[in-house]
Order: sequence, then C-alpha cells, then structure tokens
Amino acid sequence: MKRGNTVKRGITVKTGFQAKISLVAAALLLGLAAVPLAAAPASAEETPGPGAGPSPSSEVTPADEPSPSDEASPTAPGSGSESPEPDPSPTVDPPASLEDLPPSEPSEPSEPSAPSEPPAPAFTTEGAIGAKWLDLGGAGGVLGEPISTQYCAESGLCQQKFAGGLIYWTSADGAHAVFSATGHTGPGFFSGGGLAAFGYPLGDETAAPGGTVQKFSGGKILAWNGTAVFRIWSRGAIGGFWTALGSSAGLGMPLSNESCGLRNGGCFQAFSRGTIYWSPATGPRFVRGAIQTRWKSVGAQDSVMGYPVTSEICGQPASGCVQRFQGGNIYWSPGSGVWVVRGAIGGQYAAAGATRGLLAYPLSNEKCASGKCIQNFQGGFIGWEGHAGTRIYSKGTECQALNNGKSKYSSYGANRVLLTVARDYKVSRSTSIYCKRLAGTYVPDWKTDSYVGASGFKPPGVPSGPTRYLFSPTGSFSVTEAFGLGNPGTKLAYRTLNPRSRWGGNPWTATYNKYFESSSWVGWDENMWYYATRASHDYRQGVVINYNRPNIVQNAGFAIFLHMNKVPTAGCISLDDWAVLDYLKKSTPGDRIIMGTYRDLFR
Amino acid sequence: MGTLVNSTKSAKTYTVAVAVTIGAAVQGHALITETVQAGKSADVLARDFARTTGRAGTCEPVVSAEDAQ
Repeated sequence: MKRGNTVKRGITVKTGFQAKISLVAAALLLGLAAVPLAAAPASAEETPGPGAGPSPSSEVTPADEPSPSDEASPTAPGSGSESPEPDPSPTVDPPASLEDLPPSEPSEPSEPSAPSEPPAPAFTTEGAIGAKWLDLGGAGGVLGEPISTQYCAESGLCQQKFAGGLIYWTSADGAHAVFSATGHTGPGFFSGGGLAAFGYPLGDETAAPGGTVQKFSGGKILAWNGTAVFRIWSRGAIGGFWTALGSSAGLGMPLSNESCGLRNGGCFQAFSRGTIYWSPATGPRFVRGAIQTRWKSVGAQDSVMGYPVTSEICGQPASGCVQRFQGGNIYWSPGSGVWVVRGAIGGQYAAAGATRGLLAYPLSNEKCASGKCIQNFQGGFIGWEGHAGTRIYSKGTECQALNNGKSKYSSYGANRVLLTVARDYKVSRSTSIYCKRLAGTYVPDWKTDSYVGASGFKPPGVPSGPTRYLFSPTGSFSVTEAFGLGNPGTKLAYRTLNPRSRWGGNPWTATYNKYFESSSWVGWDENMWYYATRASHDYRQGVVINYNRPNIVQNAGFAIFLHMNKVPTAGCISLDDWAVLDYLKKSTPGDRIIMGTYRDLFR
Repeated sequence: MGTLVNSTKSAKTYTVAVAVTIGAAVQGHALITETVQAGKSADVLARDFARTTGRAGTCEPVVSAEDAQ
C-alpha cells in the first residue's frame, strides 16, 4: 500500500541528515519562489505586498493531529476514521511561515571522489492532499516542493504548504489548492488575510466568463477580471444578488470590492456589466449602461433620485427600458435617449400612461426656471407651474415654431406670445394661439379662432394704412398697455375708458395713433367709449398692439388692438370675450403678438 | 333723431355718439352733447353725417350721462 508521495519517487523514509539537507533545499526553493511572486499579476487592492511571501503565515496552527491519509480512500481522504501508521522516520515540525524555517546548516562534507547525491525530500505528501498535489504536477507543477508536513486542525481542516501555495482539505469539500506564485486568486487570498479572512477554498481557481473565480468557505469569492482581483461577499446582499443574476455570466466580473459608507448606509460594488447598489431601504439592485450614466449625471444616490428600487425593466414599448428609483424613474429607448422623469411631472406622466401613453418617451430631463418646469416628451410636453400644478401640452401647435427656429419672427424672450395666423392674404378669419414660456420652452395655453382686418394681412414691411382700408399689419409687436371699462386683473398698464376717450386717427396731427381725451369726435379718430359701450362692446376690454408706435409713421396705420366682438375688423384682432379676458389676466408688459399669414410667419 | 329723458332729480349732461358702419368700416359719425334738467327731456338730431353709397349700413347710437357741471 502506498503510504505517501515523496519528492524523490519511492523514498518515504527520511533521515535526520536528509531532513536537514531538504530544509536547505526547501529554503532555496522558497527563496526562488518568492521572485515570481513579487511580479505576480494581481490587483492594486489584492496585490501581495512586498513582505507577503508566497506562503501564508497564519494558516491552521500546526498541530499533532493526524493528517488526512489516502490509506482509507485515495479519493476521499480525511475520513479521520483511520489513524495513520506511525512514521518510522523522525518528523520535522512544519514551519509556520517562510520566516519560521530554521536557518540552513552547513551541509555535511561530501565525499570528494564521489558525486553528491541529490538531496532527499524534506516532506512527504499523502492522502487527498497528496493526490491533489500530484494532479497539479507534483514537484514539477505549480505548487513545487512541499515545505511542511500535512497538519490538521481540530475542526478537521487539513493543509500542507508548498513552495507555490497551499492545499487545504476537508472531508466535506475535498482538497483544493491556493497558489501563491501563480494563478490570480491565490495571491489575493494570501495578501488579503488568508485562511482567517477567507476560510479555506471550496474549489480551485477556475475559469469563468471574463476571468477566473475561486470560492472560499468564509463566503467570499475572489474573482480575477483579467486585470485585477476583487472580492465578492457571496453571503452578503450584493454578492448574493450577483450570484442570483448569473454571477460572472450575468453582471460580469467585479471591477471593485464592495464599498460601503454611502448615503443612508448604502453599499455598492461595480461589475463589468453593471453596478449593484444596496441600501437598507431598497435592497440590492443593479444599474448599468446609459441609465447608470444618467443616474450618476444627476447625482446618483446623493441626489433626489436616491437608490434604485428596481433593477432595469426592459421590454417596454419601442424596445425601451425603465428603472425606478426612490425619487423618480429613468427611461431609455433607442429613439429617445435616456432621461429622468420625477416629481409632479412624473406623476402626470404616469397618469397619462407613461411610455404606453401618447407622450411616449421623454426627450429631456425636466427644465426649471422662475418657479416653472417643463419636460419634453416625444408626444408633447408636461409643464408644472406651482399653483396651477401640471398640465400636458401639445407639440402640434404653432408655438413649437418659437422653439425650433421655424418662426421667422423672434419672440424676444417674451413670457407670452399670441400667434394670430391667417391662411393667406385677403383672409380675415384666423387662428390665434396663446403661447406661454415655461423654462424657456413655448407651449400652447389655448388656441381659438379669431378675425383680423376684413381685408386680411398686408405683407411684411408694408404698412396696414388707414383703418378704413381694413388691413392688418404683419409682424411681431410688443404689448404694454390695455384699456376697457374696468381692469379685469391685468399686469399691463390699464386705462379705464370714459366718454372722452379717443384714439388718434387723423394723420399729421399730434394725437395720431395715441390715446387722448376730447369732448369732440373728429374725422378718423376713434371714439373708444363708443366702441366700448355699443351693443357689440368691441372695446369693453382691449389690448394695444404696438404697431406703428411708439415711433409713429404718419398714415402708416393706427388703433391696431386686440379686442372683443369676434368679427372681421378694421385691422385689429378680435377674439371671443373669454379669450380677451384670459389674455389680459395672464399678460405682462413685454409680451408679444406675432401676426400674419402662415407663409409670412413660418419657415 | 332721438329724445333724451332725464328722469333723475339732478341735471345731466348727455353725450350721444352715433356712427354708421358697414362691417368694420365707419361710414360716418356724429357726437351730440346736451344738458337736460331734472325731470325734463330734449330731442336731439344728427343730420347728414354718413353716406353708405347704396350699401346697407348700420346706424347705432351710444348715450352716456354725466352730472351737469
């Protein structure tokens, strides 16, 4: 029966002299073994330090326990049921570490005439550990020579040290090696604390997608990603989640160790195909790719977004994905990019069906300014204005031309713009769209039918002329003042009309295209009181359109207003009463009215 | 032509504005100011202030009243 493996085949009995020689040889071998270790590929985090030798120094305390033997079964050692037979040779206490090795003694002088024999082996291997050692190539393999005897702890864990690492054995998990000078996970094991930190190996370092892994009894996994070695705490939430996602075949190899100390007690670990974040409130979730990039761009867990509460959920319409976070959602689709939707706007978006609704996917993050916010979606906008809450706005109106450069006339940054558009020249019927600006984007507040001059629009740059010709001017005009029979709440300068209220219509007079008061009604002047109080109450409420003013060109046109009585006009814009009142209540000085034909207003 | 009736207990100055329009176009207008004592009435007339040259126009007066000075 084979009792053990020896470095020198067939020799199992060692003399004291041989043992001394072997110790010297082992020391030399170990010294050599330390050289490649210093250059071993390992991560910055797991790279053995300069002082870390290839052999562990704090492994199982050598004890006089019987070592596992292959006497009972070569393939199932460590039954512990059979005691090894007494070793006839004196044993040498195994060194706890390289430093514990006794100093080499001068070798016995050899016979000068006879060639010296190779040194006899210092230690034997046997049992499952020995079998494992042989499987790995024995003395010529990656482990090299044994540098200790096998020794076992009371727990049943046995180990034996070799020049190139250790083999551990338990009855439950068998014999597995940890390399100190080769491989990738072994150096990380030794530099990271060895048995005390990791436990014993549950398997060898094995190839996995993206690198190699080695699992340890303490619940830790060492994984080499092709560049560096990192730890995975498989019994932790993050490591468990990584395993559940398919380990290295799922999220890939680790790019970092688990790191904690994040906001609200969170931890994270980066992997090649995503990062797992954990917090007590949210558990482990992974973020990856474009969604991860967007989340980080807005401040990640330190922002209002907080931690992910789901992992990425794909299979959405248009091949999109969504991931939910404590403070909002991030949406991605190939056609829209990746954007955050949150807060009140997020609530409105969800109520509208989110990606399955008409709004489809977001095209921007929300933008806020002056207490107002807006977010652009494929199918429209969602705006938020404190007191008014949220509202969905269509993109299908002419207001969009103010956003995308298709308007030939500038809004000059006005808070609100009324677009009054006729189909063509000589057309009095028109459409008026009241656009408001939310955080720099114009959206339609309302859209209604309207009338302009009964003769339609004059071309751009052509004066509308006297009102008796019934033409409206084309252009972008400011709005600063209003008039009527009582202020409905406008912020424009408001003039309450009286029986003497007039608007100058006689060219080459001091009052041309200006408000003035008179007890007479002369020529082409307008009697504003008359128009305000007659049955059709045109001027009950009105707004002055600053056409041909304040720099007045005589006879170029006057009294161009926005007013009630929705009928073809003498050059003004006429709207339903409700629209004029709403316009007045919402307008502020500097607002603009852009009016003309479609062809003249839009590119 | 019309009649101003002051049924109040104080004198009033009435302003009568009248215009003839065809659509939005004003064909002519007139303004008459008349003070009527309390309980009295007065006839007022605007003559030849507008021409519609064969087209149908609308003539509509507006009356305002103020306390007489």
